[in-house]
Amino acid sequence: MTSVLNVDTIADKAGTGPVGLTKQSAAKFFANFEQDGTQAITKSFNASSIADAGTGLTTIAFVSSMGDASYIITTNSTHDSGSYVGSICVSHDVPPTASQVQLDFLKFSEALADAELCMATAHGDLA
Amino acid sequence: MASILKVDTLTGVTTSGSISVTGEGNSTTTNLQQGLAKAWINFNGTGTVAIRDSFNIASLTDAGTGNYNCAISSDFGNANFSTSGAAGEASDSGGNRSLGLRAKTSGTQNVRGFYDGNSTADLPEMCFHCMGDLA
Repeated sequence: MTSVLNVDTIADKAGTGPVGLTKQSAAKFFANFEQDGTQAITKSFNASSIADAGTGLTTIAFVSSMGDASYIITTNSTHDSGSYVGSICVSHDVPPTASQVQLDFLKFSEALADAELCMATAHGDLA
Repeated sequence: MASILKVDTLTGVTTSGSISVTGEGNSTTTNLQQGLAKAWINFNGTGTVAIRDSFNIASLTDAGTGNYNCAISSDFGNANFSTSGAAGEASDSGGNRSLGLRAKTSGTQNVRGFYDGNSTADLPEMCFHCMGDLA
């Protein structure tokens, strides 16, 4: 028989800790954002703000911070025919912190550029 | 004693598509549904393109050299979902490969494979996932 549980919040038995999701984990952040013109978030989860840190440079702050800076970020590459193709990189010069991440778009020529259709996801432990 | 709840479906009470779960640090909550990938795919983009494994992907179509159309089974609410991915090689043959994003709708995602810069290429290892709101 199929079972359905209706609930608003799931916590551990003590009511204060996380529950394990069998053989899977949930992302703690994602964002779809634009660097062209005034930088803006198109769609996000757990993102509180976006800041233009220079050409091709974007800083996104989290609503709920991660436990530390050891979380992982996956990003995308973008191709604008005739304009650019390149990848979004996590900044080495401004490394991720528990509360924010800087994402840099670089063409394959390694030149920074403002790109459209920038996207990133974070997995890890919340604070 | 650890407790295990076995259930087939979880549904929110206040909002059916929204359930909060406690974060790892015990100090905050995060939304379960928002944190779940809604579609993902691992495919071979060389020769006759083929899906190795996927979730919520209806079909994969070869649209030209390094050009792939993926149809999503259960559509997103709009085209604002977030996609991240990577491309690679099956063996060490040198060069750099990447997966680029192109046009998408609530039910489709076009991606391109690139080899050493601006040249599109059929690539053997293509993977991406999509985050966002389902319709």
